[in-house]
Amino acid sequence: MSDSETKETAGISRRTMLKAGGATLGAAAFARAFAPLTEWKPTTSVDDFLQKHYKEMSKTDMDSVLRRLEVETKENYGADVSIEDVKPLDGVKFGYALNLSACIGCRKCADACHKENNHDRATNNSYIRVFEMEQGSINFEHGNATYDHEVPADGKYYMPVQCQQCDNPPCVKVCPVEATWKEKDGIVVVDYDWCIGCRYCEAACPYHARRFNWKKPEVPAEEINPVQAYLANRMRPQGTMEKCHFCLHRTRKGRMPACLEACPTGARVFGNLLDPESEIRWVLANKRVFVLKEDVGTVPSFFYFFDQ
Amino acid sequence: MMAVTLGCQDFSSKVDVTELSSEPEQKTVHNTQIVSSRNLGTLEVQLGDRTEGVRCGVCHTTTNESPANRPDELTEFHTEMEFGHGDLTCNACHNPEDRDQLRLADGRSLAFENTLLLCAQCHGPQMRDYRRGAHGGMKGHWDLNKGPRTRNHCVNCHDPHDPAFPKMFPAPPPRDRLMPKKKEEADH
Ligand code: HEC
Ligand code: HEC
Ligand code: HEC
Ligand code: HEC
Repeated sequence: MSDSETKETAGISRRTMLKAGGATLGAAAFARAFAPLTEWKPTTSVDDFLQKHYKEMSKTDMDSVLRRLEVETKENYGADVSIEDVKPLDGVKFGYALNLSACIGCRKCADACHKENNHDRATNNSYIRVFEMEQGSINFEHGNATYDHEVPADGKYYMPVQCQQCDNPPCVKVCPVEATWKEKDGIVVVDYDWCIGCRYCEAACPYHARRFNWKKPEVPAEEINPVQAYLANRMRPQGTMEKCHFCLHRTRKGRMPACLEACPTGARVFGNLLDPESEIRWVLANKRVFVLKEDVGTVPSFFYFFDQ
Repeated sequence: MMAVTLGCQDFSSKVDVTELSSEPEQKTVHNTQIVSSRNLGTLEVQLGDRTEGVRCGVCHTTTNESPANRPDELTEFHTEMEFGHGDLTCNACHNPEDRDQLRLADGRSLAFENTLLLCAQCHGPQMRDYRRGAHGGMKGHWDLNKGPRTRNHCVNCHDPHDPAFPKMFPAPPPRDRLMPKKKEEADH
């Protein structure tokens, strides 16, 4: 690990450079226009340097980026992976609901996310944080996410928190380079190749749902999930932000998110909000659902409920 | 005493949900299957180095004259069973005339593979939630036009004799030191 680490921190980080530039000039448009130039560093390949913004890439552009990323993953991690650019489905907007009466805080969801999404092994990173809460309290800021005892503990309940895929996402608004945006199926995505690592989005998120790669994520080759997508679980570069993407590499193909399948209590309900027959719509209509921090106006696509 | 006919059917009893009409009618390409984690209606018996699922009727050939009704009345057999399901008696669920069958409250016999209906008669709200996907979890596809789905049987999570969901040890906590400040303090 130390070898690659020194290599990456030795030169001036392109991300640090750009952050400084952006801050001084204070203009998002400036940062956007000059992003490729200021990002240059010795380890940046020419292709990397010339890559266009996600939304401007043609299918051919994207294909060559994907093949390059596959080769890089082989070089850096020794793993053969296949990376796809999975697009949103027509007529689909995703919603997620979580039954807090059923959840026992076992963290199997967080663990499944860790593996599915090729998270750094050293930090045991995951897009889901499970808060142990006092019964009666509803503010997860007062919860404890590092409990380590048999669950459920008496007098406690558990609240898993991940990206709420807000319809009014504060994280998207503050990004100076449009490296994060909301797609038509409701998923807020990050282009790790466009992110400059300024961490404004992390600060803007009221749910602490964004994670920063302080180091190059380390995952042993044999543990890497080889089924990857560009905006999802491919290996993230050091210095970039990441977050839950509702397992779009699975869900955009009709499958359940990994965290839902891993839940031993059946607390999680996922589906298409635009389909009136879906399980998620039934929950919204028949359970008293609520969203976290409703007052901040983020309009989440993630709901919580208690039985009764 | 035991002229044993071993119950060597396939391990997981699979019930088509549409047969049970326990999920709302759907016109989809793929369907949902309820998969139980054990072979219902058998008792696991250790035979040498093998464990076999033995049908109840193998031993229960005659009707017991003074059948045990409650767990504490069992002295010779099934004694290791934990029981914590209110104050239900064995025969509230098991058919005393035919131990290879369950029994509904109205006296009708019910096959073990329809255990869901047994639970449903006393737990309507959970059954309703289960039918709508809001209890009991699932695996596979949210979009049944893209692929199939499997559901847990009630007994995969709830032992019918001791149904409270078991406690467990959680997966390890995150090890990053970058949690928001407030929470780190709360941990100490
Ligand atoms: C290996 C033989 C064996 C098998 C297999 C077996 N039982 Fe029993 N069972 C017994 C014996 C012996 C007793 C009497 C125990 C006592 O009175 O202490 C008993 C007692 C019971 C009782 C208490 C009421 C009564 O009739 O005495 C119930 C209910 C029962 N068994 C249900 C089942 C069910 C359901 C199955 C199948 C899932 C099963 N048993 C399989 C041997 C068996
Ligand atoms: C709430 C309903 C219910 C009650 C009450 C109940 N059972 Fe059962 N029992 C079931 C069901 C359903 C199964 C099949 C599910 C399975 O195999 O896990 C079963 C399975 C069994 C089995 C085989 C599986 C095992 O756990 O070993 C035995 C033996 C058994 N019952 C004995 C009894 C006895 C003895 C009593 C009374 C002390 C009793 N049951 C009370 C519903 C009940
Ligand atoms: C004859 C009615 C009856 C049947 C049949 C029945 N139950 Fe129950 N169940 C009860 C009652 C009564 C309680 C409440 C017990 C209590 O409060 O201690 C209960 C409690 C429970 C609980 C909560 C346990 C706890 O301690 O939190 C679960 C879970 C449960 N049942 C599951 C099942 C399942 C699964 C089945 C089918 C195998 C089933 N029940 C069949 C009557 C029934
Ligand atoms: C994936 C696991 C799972 C499956 C499958 C499952 N349950 Fe549960 N069930 C739970 C958990 C976890 C709880 C505890 C949370 C709670 O008390 O609400 C629970 C609670 C219950 C309770 C107690 C509710 C209360 O308020 O005390 C009943 C009754 C129940 N389940 C019945 C059923 C029935 C009937 C089925 C099958 C149709 C079923 N469950 C299937 C996980 C499951």
